[in-house]
Amino acid sequence: MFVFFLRRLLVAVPTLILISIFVFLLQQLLPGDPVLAMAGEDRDLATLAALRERYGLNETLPVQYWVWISAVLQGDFGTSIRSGEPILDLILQKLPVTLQLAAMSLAFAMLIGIPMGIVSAVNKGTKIDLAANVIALSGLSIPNFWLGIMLILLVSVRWQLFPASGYVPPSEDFWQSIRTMLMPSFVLGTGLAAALMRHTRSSMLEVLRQDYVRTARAKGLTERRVVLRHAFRNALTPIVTLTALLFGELVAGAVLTEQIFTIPGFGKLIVDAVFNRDYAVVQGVVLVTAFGFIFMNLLADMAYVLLNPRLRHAR
Amino acid sequence: MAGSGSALLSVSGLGLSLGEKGPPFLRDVAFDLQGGETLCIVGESGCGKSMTAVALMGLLPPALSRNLKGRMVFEGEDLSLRDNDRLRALRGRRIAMIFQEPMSSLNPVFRIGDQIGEAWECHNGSGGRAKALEMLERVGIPDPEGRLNDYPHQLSGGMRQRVMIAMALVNDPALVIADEPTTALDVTVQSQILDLMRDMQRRRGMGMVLITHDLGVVAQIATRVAVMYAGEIVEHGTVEAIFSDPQHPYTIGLMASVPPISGPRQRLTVIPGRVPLPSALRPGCRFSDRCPFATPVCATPPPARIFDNGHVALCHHTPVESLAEAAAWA
Ligand SMILES: Nc1ncnc2c1ncn2[C@@H]1O[C@H](COP(=O)(O)OP(=O)(O)O)[C@@H](O)[C@H]1O
Ligand code: SF4
Ligand SMILES: [Mg+2]
Repeated sequence: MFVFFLRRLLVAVPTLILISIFVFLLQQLLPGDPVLAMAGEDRDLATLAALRERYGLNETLPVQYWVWISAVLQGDFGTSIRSGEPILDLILQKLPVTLQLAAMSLAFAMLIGIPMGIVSAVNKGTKIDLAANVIALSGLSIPNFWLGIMLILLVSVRWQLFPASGYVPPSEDFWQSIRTMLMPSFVLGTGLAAALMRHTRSSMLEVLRQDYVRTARAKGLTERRVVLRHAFRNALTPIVTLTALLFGELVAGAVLTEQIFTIPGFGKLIVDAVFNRDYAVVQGVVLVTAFGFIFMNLLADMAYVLLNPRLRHAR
Repeated sequence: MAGSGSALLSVSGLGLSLGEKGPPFLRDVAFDLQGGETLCIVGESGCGKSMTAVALMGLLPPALSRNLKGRMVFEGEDLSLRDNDRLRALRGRRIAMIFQEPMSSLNPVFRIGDQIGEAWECHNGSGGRAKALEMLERVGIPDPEGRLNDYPHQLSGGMRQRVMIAMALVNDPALVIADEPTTALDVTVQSQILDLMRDMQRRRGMGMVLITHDLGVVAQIATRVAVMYAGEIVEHGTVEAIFSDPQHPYTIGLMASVPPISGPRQRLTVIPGRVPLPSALRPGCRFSDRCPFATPVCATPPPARIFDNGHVALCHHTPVESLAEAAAWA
């Protein structure tokens, strides 16, 4: 099993290299010249040339890549062209905000999606199942921005229950932090909840047909125990895998959600960076996100093995 | 015969169809079983044997159990009342079931010790692990202590079936329903498992309903035999009567398709045609499209002909008069 994880880890390395190359090349495709953006009004050729020289923009692409990636590997993502701050600091500052949003959204999605999936699978073909599916379909098809804006208008503006925007770190005021993040994570979580619900449902339907579920019933176990222990434990594997893979969707959703609720997180960082043509920041953010995605994939693989005795005991 | 008060299990008029007027899977299935007896239900695939077993366990899917007709009285208690809590309390404790596929009938993610222990604990509270160990010993699994922590995939098919038997018998049930318990196993393992089941049954005086399509197994283990065809019991009697004096053309056909154990190997005779699907059943005798003795009268429902010792056959033309006619099968 250890060997399996090691091998899986080694496979991740070339993936990471490819992604870093891709991220690096991406900047070439972005419209606009960063030097022009930096120079502002001061556009004489000498200044531009000096800036190009300073940021190594005259070197060939492979050299530029090498310089960049060596620095990144030492934790130096460069400095923001806009603010002059080290990019690593920016990322470390914004990452916890987005991680909190992602974690709360995921928790919300699991809390809603998984029980709903189980209930609708157990009641397949009944009105309960139909209702759950209609709700899930609405969850999937309501756009986040619309839901976010409606929530802000109703819950924040009219009823004044939750704040409409901003961010409070949990270290400062834990409950206020949760309260502020509640609406954004609801908005970001609905789509995920729907996806999880449908996935849980089909996974449970598959498992409930299995012979060992019939055996569990033949023992005289309560239906509750049959479903929650014997069936769900087997249905869990694909659910966990999907949850880890939803991470990408989560980050994409976070970008939009952070805009709606003006949350100073990762999403806002990347949007601002793109609009400011702050290439180094974009690269850093995308790289960290890709790394996170690969890490989640790795976690999913591990969970898959750990949940499955057949694989756990294999060499 | 069906309906006598002292029987361990008494089934009468059992019928099952898909929907109110849907095609019947089972029709008028009836038999009695005394403690210590083994009733073998035989018939080709698709005759409704498993359906009967699942109905007895009260494990039919709701869409089907809604249309279940007839009475099943077990230890004086009417199972057909469909009191779910009561049925659940009987399942695994007084009535146990052994399934055909030992490969897929154990839960792959739990240790076998826990799976057996759970069957004990859900009716008795605690002490499942000790009980599991005791049962693994009894069903002849080597190194039972070590096997307790194994997962199903670590065991061979024969060992898994032993685990299933251990699980089924952990609560000392009065009735065991075994649905083709050896069909999925190697021939050598088959006889070991059958010996084990017969041994456990004798020691505990259980009643057993054994479903099989292997007449060799029937000859070894049965007290009485019910021959099923297309959802009906077409012949029913003691094992001696069924083997020495079969009356129903379908039974005779089944007998003829058993390869002789000794002597020169002959061509395996099988009954031409196949079991009709419930949706394709016609009125009258359900076997008529495959029966060499069929006459126009067979288009009407056949009567139950009664012989000695509760031997019954469902056919217009029993008793089969001449062996020459029976030879039409060869
Ligand atoms: N889940 C099901 N849905 C509909 N029909 C079924 C189902 N399972 C079995 N049947 C039908 O019910 C009949 C009896 O099946 P079964 O009891 O499994 O037969 P046996 O165990 O004798 O091989 C067959 O005609 C089969 O096609
Ligand atoms: S009733 Fe007729 S068709 Fe049916 S088994 Fe008897 S002889 Fe054959
Ligand atoms: Mg069957």
